[in-house]
Amino acid sequence: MMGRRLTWSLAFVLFGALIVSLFPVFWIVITAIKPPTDWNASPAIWFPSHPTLVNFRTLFDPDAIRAYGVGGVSQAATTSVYGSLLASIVGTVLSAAIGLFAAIGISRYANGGKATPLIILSGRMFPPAAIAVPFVIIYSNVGLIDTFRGLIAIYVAGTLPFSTWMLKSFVDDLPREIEEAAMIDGRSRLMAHLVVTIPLIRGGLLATTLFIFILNWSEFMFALVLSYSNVTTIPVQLARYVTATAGTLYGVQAALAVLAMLPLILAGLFIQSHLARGMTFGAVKR
Amino acid sequence: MSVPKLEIINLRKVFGNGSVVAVDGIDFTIEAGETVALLGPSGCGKSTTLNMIVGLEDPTSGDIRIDGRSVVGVPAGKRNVGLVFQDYAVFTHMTVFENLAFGLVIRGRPKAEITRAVHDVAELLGMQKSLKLPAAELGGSELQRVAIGRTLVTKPAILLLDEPLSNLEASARLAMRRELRRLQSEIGLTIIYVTHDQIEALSLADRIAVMNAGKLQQIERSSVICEKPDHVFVAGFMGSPPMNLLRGEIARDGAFTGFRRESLFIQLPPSEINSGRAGQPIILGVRPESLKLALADESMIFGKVTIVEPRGPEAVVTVEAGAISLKAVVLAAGRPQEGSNVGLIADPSSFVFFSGETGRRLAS
Amino acid sequence: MELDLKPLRIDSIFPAALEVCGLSKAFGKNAALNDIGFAVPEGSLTVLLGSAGAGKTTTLRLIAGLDRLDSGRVVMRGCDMTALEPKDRDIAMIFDNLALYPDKTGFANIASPLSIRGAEKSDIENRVAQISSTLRIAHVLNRLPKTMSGGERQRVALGRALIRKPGLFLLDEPLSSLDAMLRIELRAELKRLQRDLGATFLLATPDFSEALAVADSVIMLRGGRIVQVATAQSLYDDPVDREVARFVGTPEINLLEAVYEPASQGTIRVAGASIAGLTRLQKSLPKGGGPFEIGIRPEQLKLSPLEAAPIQARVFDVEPLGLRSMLTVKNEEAEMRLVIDAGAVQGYAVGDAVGINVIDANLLAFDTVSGIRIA
Repeated sequence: MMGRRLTWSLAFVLFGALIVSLFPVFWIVITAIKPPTDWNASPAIWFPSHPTLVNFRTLFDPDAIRAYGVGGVSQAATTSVYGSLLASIVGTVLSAAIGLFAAIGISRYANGGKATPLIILSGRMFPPAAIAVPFVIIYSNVGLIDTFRGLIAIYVAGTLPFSTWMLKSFVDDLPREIEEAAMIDGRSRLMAHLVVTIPLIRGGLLATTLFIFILNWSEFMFALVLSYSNVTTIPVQLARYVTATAGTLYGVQAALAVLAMLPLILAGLFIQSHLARGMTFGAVKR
Repeated sequence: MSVPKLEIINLRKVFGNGSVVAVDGIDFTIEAGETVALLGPSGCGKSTTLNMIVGLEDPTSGDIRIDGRSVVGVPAGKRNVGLVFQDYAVFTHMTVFENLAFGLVIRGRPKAEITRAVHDVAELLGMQKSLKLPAAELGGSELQRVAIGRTLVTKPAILLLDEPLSNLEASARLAMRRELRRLQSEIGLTIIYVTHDQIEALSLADRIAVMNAGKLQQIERSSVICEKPDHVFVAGFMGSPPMNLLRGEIARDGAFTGFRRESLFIQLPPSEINSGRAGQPIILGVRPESLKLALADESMIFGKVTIVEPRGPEAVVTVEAGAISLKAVVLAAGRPQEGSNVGLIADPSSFVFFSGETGRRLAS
Repeated sequence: MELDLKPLRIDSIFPAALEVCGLSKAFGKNAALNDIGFAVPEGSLTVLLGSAGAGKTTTLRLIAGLDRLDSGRVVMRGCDMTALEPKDRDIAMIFDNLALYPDKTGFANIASPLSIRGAEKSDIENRVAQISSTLRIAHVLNRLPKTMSGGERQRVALGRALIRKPGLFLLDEPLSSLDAMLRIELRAELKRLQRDLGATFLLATPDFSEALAVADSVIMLRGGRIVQVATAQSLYDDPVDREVARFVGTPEINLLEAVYEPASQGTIRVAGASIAGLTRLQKSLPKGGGPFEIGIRPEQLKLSPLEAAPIQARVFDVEPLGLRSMLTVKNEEAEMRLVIDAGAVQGYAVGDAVGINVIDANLLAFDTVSGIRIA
């Protein structure tokens, strides 16, 4: 775009797109700090005169929530926050670790030949909705329904194609001779890979980890069908709040949504700074 | 008096707030139809100079004029120069035809004109049969021809090539040198090569500009520059092996004038250089080809052979005597053994002298 | 006719520094190495010479243990290393891309073979100081590789290899990333270092002039097989076949169709002329005469006065090479390259008629079909 100047029409279009994409976020954040009286005001209130954090407190207060409905609707958000943290973090760490070793094996030793990497990639080609029901049936039979083990297993399996392939491209970029020099210097093969490869791809490793975290944290479909009462994640809890008596939980819902957004925004910012070079994902070098 | 094709006037490029001076005030002109090589070691500023001529870098100060008009500030695409990259940068997802046509397509030329121009260039480069091939299938020298053809199609005022032969296998280099020389004579373009390899420079250029540490040391016809280096740097750079350079002074030994360095004294016939320079630091240059093996009593220098490097028909022999080390080129058949003692002799008229202070050649 | 070469045998009571036999390696369908066997004498600089893809890097990697061989053995000083991991093989390797640790300083890079094996800190510091002063890189010890020049990085890689004083140094095109001047400087330094330390070097390169300049002996590889093992000068004077003759020498040797007619004193028909008096060559040719391929090095062709010269041709190309120039001449029968002084070439332009004569010294003869040297 060198030399193309920002014309008025272009600016107008960009500004319009900005408004359209950011408006929902603005609305959610504003609603989260509205006192209950402002939730359903008509005409809509744009800027509450008395912004408050009471919604966030209500979120974690079981008694206050109970007032709004029955069943899932009246659950405090505490379990879902813990649930999201547990499932996402453990799932991400496992996926990154397994993907890292798979990437090293494929990149350095051509493990699995030509077929295996593609088979790993194909795992992502199934739309979650298509395989959700079969998984419910399988999980019920083996007793994994409504367990964290089960959900984390799905999270790992679903993100492995990403972690393997993204990490493989970073490992490919690293000349293998550097690890081999370490092997000649005295490291065993395994140690050479751990001690040399991992620090040198840490930017890419961090970016991949954050990327997978974002995927897991926002995951809804499997969390919904595979959990019942023991396991809840934030997206599922948000969905439950929707069935509250219409219009009575907006502020609290918005508060939970804001909480859900925060890690994603942080992760996105972190990725930006560390992915500066890595975004080209192994573009051709001389 | 025709306008020179390219004028470089007091060109300077400084990086990082003045800490790195990549190009330190160089001046030269190139006439239309000439081929000039910018030759020098890594970091001498030749690639930076190339980038400034092409327009990928802006000079810190100084001027660049093409056909008499200053191009500083003019974007690269509008300068009418063509650049062939060191690694060719051919578009591998396109066919050869599409690659060659690229420059004209971007400029929105009519289809008939493009087709004709591409066919002309393809014929010039002998690529008519490969036009439909995807570029990804080509080998090294063919890729280079595509890269060259791509720039020729736009009929640039000046063609610049960055290390054109360095990515080719040794066997392909000779053929490509011949090809480039043929192109030079057929199309009569003004061409500038950037290279670190003197063989490339000597073989392809009418004149060679030797650069070092951002400065232009000498620009001279290729045929002359080996015989008459202007500066010790050039003398120590050109030639294979380069000229032997000995620091010492002109001294008198009784009735004789000669070159002295520690215990070495080489008698010199009287000349302008010797008279009036007694005691001044001077650098004596002797070409390895001028040194011949001699017996002890006839030789100018007598020492031990430390290294013998065979080269096929000849060998390069390094002889050391005290702190002095000289290289000589001798025939393979008569080469001495490593560790033996030999004498070397040379005709004093082949000596070249440089000032010990400035490094410039002293006329003889 | 198949070449039947045996590995170089060292007659000595001490086992060779390195001996490989029967080495084979295939990558998928590609047979990279086929039954390679050779020996590297103690304290020598041996060069593996060959064009890209000949198998040099594969050989070095198998010797280092970085890749697993399909068959064969690697024996160092009598001990079979074939099953050992690289770290247990008492070797050092310099890769063509140097493979310095980019996130470590010069000091840490050089020290790594010692620090990995848990040497004493003071030991490490002494050794690094010693090596860096020999290699003149003390000033880069605190810097990262990306701030060093090509030559400095080279020397840091050398330092890392030298610090443990291993029994065998493997160098894979160590100078290829340097520019021409630096390459020539550093190769002399490499040779001097090898000589002073009495170390055993096995160096791979596609550059025959590098091989000629530094090698004690050269192992010529082609298509995964050993073609010739000889000293540098012998490779030039006595190539085993036409491909070796073509590979070694610049400008490239002239290979021309020739016929030996033994009648009377004997003449050799080449390039459209019958040349008598090439007695040294004739002596080694089969007595019955017949066609062969003659190998004439550019320095064995001389310009002669047009009337008296046996071969008549026209100048096709003039390539300046500094103090000398290469002249390419052509007639209907052949194209030839010769080298003459730059001064002498002034009078010749493309298209001029010239006379060429052949000097009777070290001419080579090859079988027309197999390319193997017959004289």
